[in-house]
Amino acid sequence: MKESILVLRFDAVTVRYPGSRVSALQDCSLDIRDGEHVALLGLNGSGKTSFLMAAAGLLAHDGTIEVDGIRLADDTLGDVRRRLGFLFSTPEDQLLFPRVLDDVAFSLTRQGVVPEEAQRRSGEMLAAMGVAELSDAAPYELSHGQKMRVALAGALVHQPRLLLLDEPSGALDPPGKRALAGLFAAYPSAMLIATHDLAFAEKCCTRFVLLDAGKVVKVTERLSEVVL
Amino acid sequence: MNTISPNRAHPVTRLLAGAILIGGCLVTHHGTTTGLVALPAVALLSLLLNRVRVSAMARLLLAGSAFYLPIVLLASPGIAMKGLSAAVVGMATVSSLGPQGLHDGILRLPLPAVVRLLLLQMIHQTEVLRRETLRIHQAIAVRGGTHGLRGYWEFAKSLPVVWLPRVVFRAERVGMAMDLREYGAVMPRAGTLRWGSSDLALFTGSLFIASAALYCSGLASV
Repeated sequence: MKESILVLRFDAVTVRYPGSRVSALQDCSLDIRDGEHVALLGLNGSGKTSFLMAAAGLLAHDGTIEVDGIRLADDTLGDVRRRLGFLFSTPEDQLLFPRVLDDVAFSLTRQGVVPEEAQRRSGEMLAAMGVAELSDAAPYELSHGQKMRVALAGALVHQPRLLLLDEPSGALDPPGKRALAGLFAAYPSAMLIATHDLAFAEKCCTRFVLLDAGKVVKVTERLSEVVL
Repeated sequence: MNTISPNRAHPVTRLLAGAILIGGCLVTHHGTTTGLVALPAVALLSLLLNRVRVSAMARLLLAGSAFYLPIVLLASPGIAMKGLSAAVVGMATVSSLGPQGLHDGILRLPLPAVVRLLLLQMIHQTEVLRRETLRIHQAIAVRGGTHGLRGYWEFAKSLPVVWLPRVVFRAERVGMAMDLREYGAVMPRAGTLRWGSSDLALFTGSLFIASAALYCSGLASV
């Protein structure tokens, strides 16, 4: 059997915020294979966001983190991040342009896609997220749910090898959640979704990782084994 | 037939015209009667050229006057008039462009890329922050049951403990997002730039107004 490529590898990763005596993550190990969808579950403050941020090189860490075979270090940060799509739990923070279409297209233009092509593909991605009509809107005029969809479009449009998503279903209404779960379930790239929405996780993930006080306490393929 | 109008000019022309008028205000001599008359005249012309609404004009003038009142009382009315005129020109230019126009204009400014990117982000985040401030004000009003002047006072008291930490944390998160998205790796795309008669008229008109103010005031002074 052909072995799947690892797109994320955490090996004994510990993260501590400056000035804090408590570790946000402690000795965490986890592998995610190409195309695999993994839910990162846990209560508030269990370390889900820190886990995602460490994977994107936004927090200093001890131990080894590899993304798509590249070890995360200062000199590889750019390479690693070009392989990632990231959604913050407060999407407003990652919308950096005064027009929605420009914001989504930026993910492509920074990778060298010509502007016309970037705009076309961005328009298609916004349509896939159900917000095509917001192309010309200013991000700060949108509702929280709409901002979430626009930020997601920006994270997905360049087809990253690994998606790191922090509470993607948090601000969505039930039809929106269903549509998003369907979109994620069919999405070919690997993804790590931090959530405490078990029903949503079940619809789009095949493996479930439970975090508690910064430690990986369970990794299972059966959601019924997870108790929050 | 193309009508010549300042609002038809490209955003970068409007920004440059604004910069010329602000420069004119700053170097016009405020120690003479004609200078003191020329300064508000430039500000008024700028408001009219940018077609700023009367209500917005009144708010701009009120806010600007309140800001410069201490200078009038403590230093010199002439310096305050200079500052107020320059501020009104700047605000009129910016408010008439709107977010997208401002974005396009700044992208075309003859400044280093890093400065343009910084300006773009500052402007974008200012609007985000303005809305966040409004939400905090509303939350305090609803939770505290206060309104009117009392509500504003409660809001003002909360600024160091509510607003400031939020702004700091937001700045940190935005910084992370910029880092992650490699903001600055490529310049955003600027809109098509076509110079027309409106651009020429606005540019030369601004130069004329600034020069006239300078001439009327006697001599230039810094």
